[in-house]
Amino acid sequence: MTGSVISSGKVVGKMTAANVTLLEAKHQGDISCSGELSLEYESSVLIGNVTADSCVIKGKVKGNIEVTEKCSLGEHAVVLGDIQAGSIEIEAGAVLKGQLVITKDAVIE
Amino acid sequence: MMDFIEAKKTVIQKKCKIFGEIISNDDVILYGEVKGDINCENDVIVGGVIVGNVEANELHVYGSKENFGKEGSVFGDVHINSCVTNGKIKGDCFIKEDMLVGHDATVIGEINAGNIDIKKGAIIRGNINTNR
Repeated sequence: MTGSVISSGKVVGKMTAANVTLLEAKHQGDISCSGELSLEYESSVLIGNVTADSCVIKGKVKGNIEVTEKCSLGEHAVVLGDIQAGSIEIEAGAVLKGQLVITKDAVIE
Repeated sequence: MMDFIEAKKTVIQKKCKIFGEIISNDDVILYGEVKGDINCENDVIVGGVIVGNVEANELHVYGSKENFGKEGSVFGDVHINSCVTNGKIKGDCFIKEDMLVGHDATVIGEINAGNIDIKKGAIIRGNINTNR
């Protein structure tokens, strides 16, 4: 799937796309994307679950995040929900309330 | 008047109401009201009201700022190539290429489009899918 969504508006509903960029948007509903999801600003708000390849979060998310590759949280990010990711980057100042599961294969000997 | 004929545009003016289907090869500019489907090979510009499905190349729904205080509205499904809306669409949108949902726009219904750009102030109620 290709095709991108750039949103600054108020959306209620599910979203399916390749790449999703939420600027000053308020989105209520699940988002599933085959590429990257990014919440660009502090004022971006997402209420709903996320499945994506990778995500960059600088805004607020209430819901679970499931990412196969990298998930990065900026310093103003607020996440209320579980994060499952291949790898993670969290800047100082980010708020996270929920479980964190990093799923890269690990061998403990 | 002659300008419109030369430019091969169909203009439905304010306070003009049409009940029935419109089939056109060239642009349709609508400030009045149509109750019925519109099937147009070229562009459709809406400053009035359409109650019915729209099939066209490009759909432009005016917002109130573009149209002297009256926003255009479409109540019905929309099958088009590309769409710019600042007005109201109540129905599902099936768009082959890009959709621009402007500052004053309201869309109630599903959106299927290639790329979707939603501007600040726009309100959408419904699922959004990119279809390519």
